[in-house]
Amino acid sequence: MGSAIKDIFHKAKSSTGTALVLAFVAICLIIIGTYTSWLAPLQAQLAEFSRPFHWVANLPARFGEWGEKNVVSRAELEAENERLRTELLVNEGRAQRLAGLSAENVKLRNLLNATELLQDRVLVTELIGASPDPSRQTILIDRGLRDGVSVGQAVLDADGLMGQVVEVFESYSRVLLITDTRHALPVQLLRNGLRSIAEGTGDYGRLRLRHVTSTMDIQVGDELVSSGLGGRYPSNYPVGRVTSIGKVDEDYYLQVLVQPEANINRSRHLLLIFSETERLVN
Amino acid sequence: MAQPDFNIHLRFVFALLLAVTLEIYPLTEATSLWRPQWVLLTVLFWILRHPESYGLGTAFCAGLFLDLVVGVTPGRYALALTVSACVMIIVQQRMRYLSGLQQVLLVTLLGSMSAAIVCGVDRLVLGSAVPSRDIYWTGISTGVVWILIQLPTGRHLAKS
Repeated sequence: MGSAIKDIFHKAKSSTGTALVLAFVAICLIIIGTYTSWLAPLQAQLAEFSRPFHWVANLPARFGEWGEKNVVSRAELEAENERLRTELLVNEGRAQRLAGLSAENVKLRNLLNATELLQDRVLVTELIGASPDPSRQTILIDRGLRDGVSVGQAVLDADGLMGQVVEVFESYSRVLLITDTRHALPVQLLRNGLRSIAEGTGDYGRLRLRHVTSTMDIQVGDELVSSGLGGRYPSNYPVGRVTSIGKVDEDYYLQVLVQPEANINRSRHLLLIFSETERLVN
Repeated sequence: MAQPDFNIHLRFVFALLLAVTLEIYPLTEATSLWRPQWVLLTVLFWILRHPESYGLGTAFCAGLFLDLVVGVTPGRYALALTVSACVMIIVQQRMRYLSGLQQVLLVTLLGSMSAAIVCGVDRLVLGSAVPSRDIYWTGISTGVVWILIQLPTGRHLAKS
Protein backbone atom coordinates (compact mmCIF):
# COMPACT_ATOMS: atom_id res chain seq x y z
CA MET A 1 0.00 0.00 0.00
CA GLY A 2 2.81 2.35 0.96
CA SER A 3 4.64 1.70 -2.25
CA ALA A 4 1.44 2.36 -4.23
CA ILE A 5 1.08 5.78 -2.62
CA LYS A 6 4.76 6.45 -3.20
CA ASP A 7 4.17 5.46 -6.81
CA ILE A 8 1.39 8.01 -7.13
CA PHE A 9 3.51 10.81 -5.72
CA HIS A 10 6.46 9.73 -7.79
CA LYS A 11 4.28 9.81 -10.88
CA ALA A 12 2.97 13.30 -10.12
CA LYS A 13 6.51 14.54 -9.57
CA SER A 14 7.98 12.94 -12.68
CA SER A 15 5.05 14.12 -14.78
CA THR A 16 5.77 17.73 -13.81
CA GLY A 17 9.32 17.25 -15.10
CA THR A 18 8.06 15.68 -18.33
CA ALA A 19 5.53 18.48 -18.70
CA LEU A 20 8.28 21.08 -18.38
CA VAL A 21 10.36 19.35 -21.06
CA LEU A 22 7.39 19.00 -23.43
CA ALA A 23 6.30 22.61 -22.80
CA PHE A 24 9.85 23.72 -23.59
CA VAL A 25 9.77 21.73 -26.84
CA ALA A 26 6.41 23.31 -27.71
CA ILE A 27 7.73 26.82 -27.04
CA CYS A 28 10.79 26.08 -29.19
CA LEU A 29 8.48 24.88 -31.98
CA ILE A 30 6.42 28.08 -31.72
CA ILE A 31 9.54 30.24 -31.89
CA ILE A 32 11.06 28.27 -34.78
CA GLY A 33 7.73 28.20 -36.63
CA THR A 34 7.21 31.93 -36.21
CA TYR A 35 10.62 33.39 -36.86
CA THR A 36 12.15 30.92 -39.33
CA SER A 37 10.88 28.91 -42.27
CA TRP A 38 12.65 25.68 -41.30
CA LEU A 39 9.39 23.87 -40.60
CA ALA A 40 7.64 25.03 -43.78
CA PRO A 41 8.53 22.07 -46.05
CA LEU A 42 7.54 19.55 -43.37
CA GLN A 43 4.29 21.40 -42.70
CA ALA A 44 3.47 21.45 -46.40
CA GLN A 45 4.01 17.69 -46.58
CA LEU A 46 1.88 16.96 -43.54
CA ALA A 47 -0.84 19.45 -44.46
CA GLU A 48 -2.35 17.00 -46.96
CA PHE A 49 -3.53 14.95 -43.97
CA SER A 50 -5.78 17.71 -42.77
CA ARG A 51 -7.79 17.84 -45.98
CA PRO A 52 -10.11 14.92 -45.07
CA PHE A 53 -10.99 16.64 -41.78
CA HIS A 54 -12.07 19.80 -43.53
CA TRP A 55 -13.96 17.70 -46.03
CA VAL A 56 -15.89 15.87 -43.29
CA ALA A 57 -16.50 19.03 -41.26
CA ASN A 58 -17.94 20.63 -44.36
CA LEU A 59 -20.33 17.78 -45.17
CA PRO A 60 -23.42 19.26 -43.46
CA ALA A 61 -23.05 22.51 -45.39
CA ARG A 62 -22.58 20.60 -48.64
CA PHE A 63 -25.57 18.44 -47.89
CA GLY A 64 -27.68 21.53 -47.21
CA GLU A 65 -26.62 23.00 -50.52
CA TRP A 66 -27.42 19.74 -52.30
CA GLY A 67 -30.87 19.71 -50.66
CA GLU A 68 -31.48 23.28 -51.70
CA LYS A 69 -30.53 22.40 -55.24
CA ASN A 70 -32.68 19.29 -55.46
CA VAL A 71 -35.75 20.06 -53.40
CA VAL A 72 -37.13 23.12 -55.17
CA SER A 73 -40.66 23.61 -56.40
CA ARG A 74 -41.35 23.93 -60.07
CA ALA A 75 -42.70 27.45 -59.63
CA GLU A 76 -39.50 28.55 -57.89
CA LEU A 77 -37.38 27.03 -60.65
CA GLU A 78 -39.41 28.76 -63.31
CA ALA A 79 -39.19 32.09 -61.52
CA GLU A 80 -35.42 31.70 -61.13
CA ASN A 81 -35.09 30.70 -64.76
CA GLU A 82 -36.98 33.78 -65.80
CA ARG A 83 -34.81 35.99 -63.61
CA LEU A 84 -31.60 34.44 -64.94
CA ARG A 85 -32.76 34.89 -68.54
CA THR A 86 -33.35 38.59 -67.93
CA GLU A 87 -30.02 38.91 -66.18
CA LEU A 88 -28.27 37.14 -69.05
CA LEU A 89 -29.80 39.51 -71.56
CA VAL A 90 -28.73 42.56 -69.57
CA ASN A 91 -25.22 41.16 -69.09
CA GLU A 92 -24.88 40.27 -72.76
CA GLY A 93 -25.77 43.81 -73.65
CA ARG A 94 -23.14 45.07 -71.23
CA ALA A 95 -20.57 42.59 -72.52
CA GLN A 96 -21.08 43.88 -76.06
CA ARG A 97 -20.34 47.37 -74.92
CA LEU A 98 -17.36 46.07 -72.95
CA ALA A 99 -15.93 44.32 -76.00
CA GLY A 100 -16.05 47.59 -77.89
CA LEU A 101 -14.52 49.45 -74.98
CA SER A 102 -11.72 46.97 -74.43
CA ALA A 103 -10.85 47.03 -78.13
CA GLU A 104 -10.66 50.78 -77.91
CA ASN A 105 -8.62 50.52 -74.75
CA VAL A 106 -6.13 48.16 -76.39
CA LYS A 107 -5.71 50.63 -79.24
CA LEU A 108 -5.14 53.49 -76.83
CA ARG A 109 -2.69 51.42 -74.84
CA ASN A 110 -0.83 50.51 -77.99
CA LEU A 111 -0.60 54.20 -78.71
CA LEU A 112 0.87 54.67 -75.25
CA ASN A 113 3.27 51.75 -75.73
CA ALA A 114 1.86 49.99 -72.67
CA THR A 115 2.09 46.20 -72.67
CA GLU A 116 -0.41 45.49 -69.90
CA LEU A 117 -3.13 43.05 -70.91
CA LEU A 118 -6.69 43.54 -69.82
CA GLN A 119 -8.21 40.10 -69.63
CA ASP A 120 -7.51 37.98 -66.58
CA ARG A 121 -7.92 34.22 -66.64
CA VAL A 122 -10.09 32.88 -63.83
CA LEU A 123 -10.60 29.49 -62.22
CA VAL A 124 -13.78 28.58 -60.37
CA THR A 125 -13.16 27.23 -56.89
CA GLU A 126 -15.18 26.16 -53.91
CA LEU A 127 -14.76 26.90 -50.25
CA ILE A 128 -13.94 23.74 -48.30
CA GLY A 129 -13.20 25.09 -44.84
CA ALA A 130 -12.86 28.16 -42.71
CA SER A 131 -10.49 28.92 -39.86
CA PRO A 132 -12.07 27.73 -36.60
CA ASP A 133 -10.33 30.59 -34.84
CA PRO A 134 -12.21 33.91 -35.01
CA SER A 135 -8.96 35.84 -34.64
CA ARG A 136 -7.50 34.41 -37.86
CA GLN A 137 -9.64 35.04 -40.87
CA THR A 138 -8.55 32.47 -43.39
CA ILE A 139 -10.47 30.05 -45.58
CA LEU A 140 -9.52 26.92 -47.49
CA ILE A 141 -10.38 26.49 -51.17
CA ASP A 142 -10.36 23.29 -53.21
CA ARG A 143 -7.62 24.24 -55.68
CA GLY A 144 -3.95 23.66 -55.07
CA LEU A 145 -0.57 23.11 -56.71
CA ARG A 146 -1.99 20.68 -59.24
CA ASP A 147 -4.36 23.37 -60.56
CA GLY A 148 -1.48 25.80 -60.92
CA VAL A 149 -2.38 27.96 -57.94
CA SER A 150 0.44 30.10 -56.58
CA VAL A 151 0.97 32.20 -53.47
CA GLY A 152 -0.28 35.77 -53.87
CA GLN A 153 -3.14 35.05 -56.25
CA ALA A 154 -6.28 37.08 -55.72
CA VAL A 155 -9.58 35.41 -54.85
CA LEU A 156 -12.98 36.99 -55.42
CA ASP A 157 -16.63 36.11 -55.16
CA ALA A 158 -19.45 37.31 -57.37
CA ASP A 159 -19.42 40.78 -55.82
CA GLY A 160 -15.84 41.74 -55.06
CA LEU A 161 -12.38 40.91 -53.77
CA MET A 162 -12.22 38.37 -50.94
CA GLY A 163 -8.52 37.85 -50.27
CA GLN A 164 -5.27 36.36 -51.45
CA VAL A 165 -3.70 32.91 -51.45
CA VAL A 166 -1.10 32.64 -48.70
CA GLU A 167 -0.35 28.91 -48.63
CA VAL A 168 -0.63 26.37 -51.42
CA PHE A 169 -0.79 22.62 -50.83
CA GLU A 170 -1.13 19.75 -53.28
CA SER A 171 -4.91 19.79 -53.59
CA TYR A 172 -6.04 22.86 -51.66
CA SER A 173 -4.89 26.32 -50.60
CA ARG A 174 -5.31 28.73 -47.75
CA VAL A 175 -6.65 32.22 -48.45
CA LEU A 176 -6.12 35.21 -46.17
CA LEU A 177 -9.28 37.33 -46.21
CA ILE A 178 -9.07 41.08 -46.73
CA THR A 179 -10.79 41.62 -43.36
CA ASP A 180 -8.04 39.86 -41.38
CA THR A 181 -6.11 42.20 -39.12
CA ARG A 182 -2.84 41.15 -40.79
CA HIS A 183 -4.08 42.13 -44.23
CA ALA A 184 -3.90 45.41 -46.11
CA LEU A 185 -4.48 46.17 -49.77
CA PRO A 186 -3.93 49.21 -51.97
CA VAL A 187 -7.19 50.72 -53.20
CA GLN A 188 -8.42 53.77 -55.03
CA LEU A 189 -11.70 55.65 -55.15
CA LEU A 190 -13.67 54.98 -58.29
CA ARG A 191 -15.00 58.55 -58.30
CA ASN A 192 -11.71 60.46 -58.32
CA GLY A 193 -8.86 57.95 -58.28
CA LEU A 194 -7.74 58.90 -54.78
CA ARG A 195 -5.34 56.21 -53.50
CA SER A 196 -5.33 54.68 -50.05
CA ILE A 197 -4.65 51.47 -48.17
CA ALA A 198 -7.57 49.39 -46.85
CA GLU A 199 -6.65 47.26 -43.88
CA GLY A 200 -8.63 44.51 -42.19
CA THR A 201 -10.21 45.08 -38.79
CA GLY A 202 -10.94 41.48 -37.81
CA ASP A 203 -14.64 42.16 -38.41
CA TYR A 204 -16.07 40.42 -41.50
CA GLY A 205 -18.14 43.47 -42.43
CA ARG A 206 -15.56 46.21 -42.06
CA LEU A 207 -12.29 47.52 -43.49
CA ARG A 208 -10.45 50.66 -42.41
CA LEU A 209 -8.69 53.16 -44.67
CA ARG A 210 -5.23 54.13 -43.51
CA HIS A 211 -3.86 57.69 -43.52
CA VAL A 212 -6.87 59.64 -44.77
CA THR A 213 -6.55 63.32 -43.87
CA SER A 214 -9.46 65.71 -43.51
CA THR A 215 -8.54 67.57 -46.69
CA MET A 216 -8.98 64.53 -48.89
CA ASP A 217 -12.04 64.36 -51.12
CA ILE A 218 -13.83 61.32 -49.76
CA GLN A 219 -17.55 60.83 -49.05
CA VAL A 220 -19.82 58.23 -47.53
CA GLY A 221 -21.00 55.93 -50.33
CA ASP A 222 -17.82 56.21 -52.40
CA GLU A 223 -16.88 53.00 -54.16
CA LEU A 224 -13.39 51.57 -53.79
CA VAL A 225 -11.59 49.37 -56.29
CA SER A 226 -8.21 47.69 -56.09
CA SER A 227 -5.54 49.99 -57.49
CA GLY A 228 -3.14 47.28 -58.63
CA LEU A 229 -0.22 49.00 -56.92
CA GLY A 230 2.11 46.64 -55.12
CA GLY A 231 1.55 44.03 -57.80
CA ARG A 232 -0.34 41.58 -55.61
CA TYR A 233 -3.88 42.32 -56.68
CA PRO A 234 -4.98 43.05 -60.23
CA SER A 235 -6.42 46.53 -60.64
CA ASN A 236 -10.05 47.63 -60.86
CA TYR A 237 -11.78 44.86 -58.92
CA PRO A 238 -14.47 46.16 -56.54
CA VAL A 239 -13.38 46.16 -52.89
CA GLY A 240 -16.02 48.01 -50.91
CA ARG A 241 -18.05 51.09 -50.18
CA VAL A 242 -17.33 53.82 -47.64
CA THR A 243 -19.88 53.57 -44.81
CA SER A 244 -18.67 56.13 -42.31
CA ILE A 245 -16.13 58.89 -41.95
CA GLY A 246 -15.37 60.06 -38.44
CA LYS A 247 -12.86 62.07 -36.48
CA VAL A 248 -11.18 60.34 -33.59
CA ASP A 249 -10.01 62.68 -30.83
CA GLU A 250 -6.43 63.86 -31.08
CA ASP A 251 -5.82 61.76 -34.16
CA TYR A 252 -4.48 63.54 -37.22
CA TYR A 253 -6.09 61.06 -39.59
CA LEU A 254 -9.78 60.44 -40.16
CA GLN A 255 -11.32 57.10 -39.32
CA VAL A 256 -12.85 55.87 -42.57
CA LEU A 257 -14.77 52.58 -42.46
CA VAL A 258 -15.52 50.54 -45.54
CA GLN A 259 -18.05 47.78 -46.04
CA PRO A 260 -16.56 45.06 -48.29
CA GLU A 261 -18.51 44.32 -51.48
CA ALA A 262 -17.80 40.60 -51.24
CA ASN A 263 -19.90 38.43 -48.95
CA ILE A 264 -16.79 37.62 -46.96
CA ASN A 265 -18.29 35.06 -44.60
CA ARG A 266 -21.09 33.71 -46.77
CA SER A 267 -19.83 33.05 -50.29
CA ARG A 268 -19.02 29.44 -51.11
CA HIS A 269 -18.26 29.62 -54.82
CA LEU A 270 -15.25 31.77 -55.57
CA LEU A 271 -12.99 32.76 -58.44
CA LEU A 272 -9.21 32.52 -58.50
CA ILE A 273 -7.57 35.10 -60.73
CA PHE A 274 -4.55 34.33 -62.84
CA SER A 275 -3.40 37.81 -63.52
CA GLU A 276 -1.84 38.21 -66.93
CA THR A 277 0.03 41.30 -65.87
CA GLU A 278 1.63 39.41 -63.02
CA ARG A 279 2.83 36.74 -65.39
CA LEU A 280 4.32 39.36 -67.70
CA VAL A 281 6.18 40.87 -64.80
CA ASN A 282 7.48 37.45 -63.76
CA MET B 1 -4.30 -8.81 -22.71
CA ALA B 2 -3.13 -7.45 -26.02
CA GLN B 3 -6.60 -7.51 -27.55
CA PRO B 4 -8.43 -5.14 -25.13
CA ASP B 5 -5.42 -2.80 -25.14
CA PHE B 6 -5.61 -2.54 -28.87
CA ASN B 7 -9.34 -1.85 -28.64
CA ILE B 8 -8.74 0.99 -26.20
CA HIS B 9 -6.15 2.57 -28.49
CA LEU B 10 -8.46 2.20 -31.45
CA ARG B 11 -11.26 3.91 -29.54
CA PHE B 12 -8.92 6.70 -28.50
CA VAL B 13 -7.82 7.30 -32.09
CA PHE B 14 -11.43 7.36 -33.24
CA ALA B 15 -12.41 9.80 -30.47
CA LEU B 16 -9.44 12.04 -31.28
CA LEU B 17 -10.30 12.13 -34.99
CA LEU B 18 -13.89 13.00 -34.12
CA ALA B 19 -12.74 15.69 -31.68
CA VAL B 20 -10.43 17.28 -34.27
CA THR B 21 -13.26 17.32 -36.81
CA LEU B 22 -15.58 18.98 -34.29
CA GLU B 23 -12.84 21.46 -33.48
CA ILE B 24 -12.68 22.69 -37.09
CA TYR B 25 -16.43 22.38 -37.76
CA PRO B 26 -17.44 25.73 -39.30
CA LEU B 27 -19.49 27.85 -36.89
CA THR B 28 -20.57 31.46 -37.02
CA GLU B 29 -18.38 34.05 -35.35
CA ALA B 30 -20.62 34.34 -32.29
CA THR B 31 -21.12 30.62 -31.70
CA SER B 32 -17.49 29.72 -32.25
CA LEU B 33 -16.65 31.56 -29.02
CA TRP B 34 -18.70 28.86 -27.29
CA ARG B 35 -17.01 25.96 -29.06
CA PRO B 36 -15.99 23.37 -26.43
CA GLN B 37 -12.38 22.26 -26.60
CA TRP B 38 -13.09 18.78 -27.87
CA VAL B 39 -9.49 17.64 -28.16
CA LEU B 40 -8.71 18.79 -24.61
CA LEU B 41 -11.79 16.91 -23.35
CA THR B 42 -10.77 13.74 -25.19
CA VAL B 43 -7.22 13.84 -23.87
CA LEU B 44 -8.29 14.58 -20.26
CA PHE B 45 -10.89 11.81 -20.37
CA TRP B 46 -8.42 9.22 -21.59
CA ILE B 47 -5.76 10.29 -19.11
CA LEU B 48 -8.24 9.75 -16.28
CA ARG B 49 -9.55 6.46 -17.63
CA HIS B 50 -6.29 4.85 -18.66
CA PRO B 51 -3.50 6.62 -16.80
CA GLU B 52 -1.21 3.64 -17.40
CA SER B 53 -1.03 4.16 -21.16
CA TYR B 54 -2.11 7.78 -21.72
CA GLY B 55 -0.33 10.79 -20.33
CA LEU B 56 1.58 13.92 -21.22
CA GLY B 57 3.00 12.46 -24.42
CA THR B 58 -0.55 11.84 -25.64
CA ALA B 59 -1.53 15.41 -24.86
CA PHE B 60 1.53 16.82 -26.62
CA CYS B 61 1.03 14.70 -29.75
CA ALA B 62 -2.72 15.41 -29.89
CA GLY B 63 -1.91 19.12 -29.60
CA LEU B 64 0.63 18.96 -32.42
CA PHE B 65 -1.88 17.10 -34.56
CA LEU B 66 -4.52 19.79 -33.92
CA ASP B 67 -1.96 22.49 -34.76
CA LEU B 68 -1.32 20.75 -38.03
CA VAL B 69 -4.98 20.39 -38.98
CA VAL B 70 -5.92 23.93 -37.94
CA GLY B 71 -2.83 25.14 -39.80
CA VAL B 72 -1.37 27.49 -37.23
CA THR B 73 2.10 27.88 -35.78
CA PRO B 74 3.02 24.38 -34.59
CA GLY B 75 3.29 24.09 -30.83
CA ARG B 76 0.44 26.39 -29.87
CA TYR B 77 -2.13 23.74 -28.96
CA ALA B 78 0.65 21.33 -27.98
CA LEU B 79 1.73 23.74 -25.25
CA ALA B 80 -1.84 24.38 -24.06
CA LEU B 81 -2.75 20.69 -23.94
CA THR B 82 0.50 19.67 -22.22
CA VAL B 83 0.05 22.19 -19.43
CA SER B 84 -3.63 21.30 -18.93
CA ALA B 85 -2.86 17.56 -18.95
CA CYS B 86 -0.09 18.11 -16.38
CA VAL B 87 -2.54 19.81 -14.01
CA MET B 88 -5.00 16.97 -14.57
CA ILE B 89 -2.37 14.34 -13.75
CA ILE B 90 -1.45 16.16 -10.54
CA VAL B 91 -5.08 16.27 -9.33
CA GLN B 92 -5.94 12.89 -10.85
CA GLN B 93 -6.34 11.06 -7.54
CA ARG B 94 -8.58 13.74 -6.08
CA MET B 95 -10.76 13.89 -9.20
CA ARG B 96 -12.64 10.71 -8.13
CA TYR B 97 -13.85 12.27 -4.93
CA LEU B 98 -15.11 15.46 -6.53
CA SER B 99 -18.82 15.97 -7.05
CA GLY B 100 -20.19 16.67 -10.50
CA LEU B 101 -20.29 20.42 -9.97
CA GLN B 102 -16.72 20.49 -8.65
CA GLN B 103 -15.57 18.52 -11.69
CA VAL B 104 -17.32 21.01 -13.96
CA LEU B 105 -15.55 23.86 -12.19
CA LEU B 106 -12.17 22.18 -12.48
CA VAL B 107 -12.59 21.39 -16.18
CA THR B 108 -13.92 24.92 -16.78
CA LEU B 109 -10.74 26.23 -15.21
CA LEU B 110 -8.58 23.89 -17.30
CA GLY B 111 -10.49 24.84 -20.47
CA SER B 112 -10.11 28.55 -19.77
CA MET B 113 -6.43 28.07 -18.97
CA SER B 114 -5.78 26.22 -22.20
CA ALA B 115 -7.70 28.89 -24.17
CA ALA B 116 -5.71 31.56 -22.34
CA ILE B 117 -2.42 29.91 -23.35
CA VAL B 118 -3.55 29.74 -27.00
CA CYS B 119 -4.67 33.39 -26.84
CA GLY B 120 -1.44 34.44 -25.12
CA VAL B 121 0.75 32.76 -27.72
CA ASP B 122 -1.35 34.42 -30.42
CA ARG B 123 -0.88 37.82 -28.88
CA LEU B 124 2.86 37.38 -28.47
CA VAL B 125 3.35 36.00 -31.96
CA LEU B 126 0.81 37.94 -34.00
CA GLY B 127 0.00 40.87 -31.78
CA SER B 128 -3.64 40.26 -32.71
CA ALA B 129 -6.25 41.81 -30.49
CA VAL B 130 -8.23 38.93 -29.01
CA PRO B 131 -10.90 40.07 -26.56
CA SER B 132 -10.15 38.58 -23.16
CA ARG B 133 -13.70 37.43 -22.43
CA ASP B 134 -13.50 34.86 -25.22
CA ILE B 135 -11.65 32.35 -23.10
CA TYR B 136 -14.33 32.03 -20.40
CA TRP B 137 -17.13 31.03 -22.77
CA THR B 138 -15.17 28.17 -24.28
CA GLY B 139 -14.07 27.16 -20.76
CA ILE B 140 -17.67 27.01 -19.55
CA SER B 141 -18.89 25.00 -22.53
CA THR B 142 -15.94 22.61 -22.08
CA GLY B 143 -16.93 22.10 -18.43
CA VAL B 144 -20.57 21.45 -19.35
CA VAL B 145 -19.64 18.92 -22.03
CA TRP B 146 -17.33 17.23 -19.51
CA ILE B 147 -20.20 16.47 -17.18
CA LEU B 148 -22.28 15.18 -20.10
CA ILE B 149 -19.47 12.75 -20.92
CA GLN B 150 -19.08 11.79 -17.27
CA LEU B 151 -22.78 11.09 -16.62
CA PRO B 152 -22.89 7.69 -18.31
CA THR B 153 -19.35 6.72 -17.28
CA GLY B 154 -18.97 8.34 -13.86
CA ARG B 155 -20.17 5.34 -11.88
CA HIS B 156 -17.57 3.19 -13.55
CA LEU B 157 -14.87 5.68 -12.60
CA ALA B 158 -15.89 5.71 -8.94
CA LYS B 159 -15.81 1.92 -8.75
CA SER B 160 -12.39 1.39 -10.28
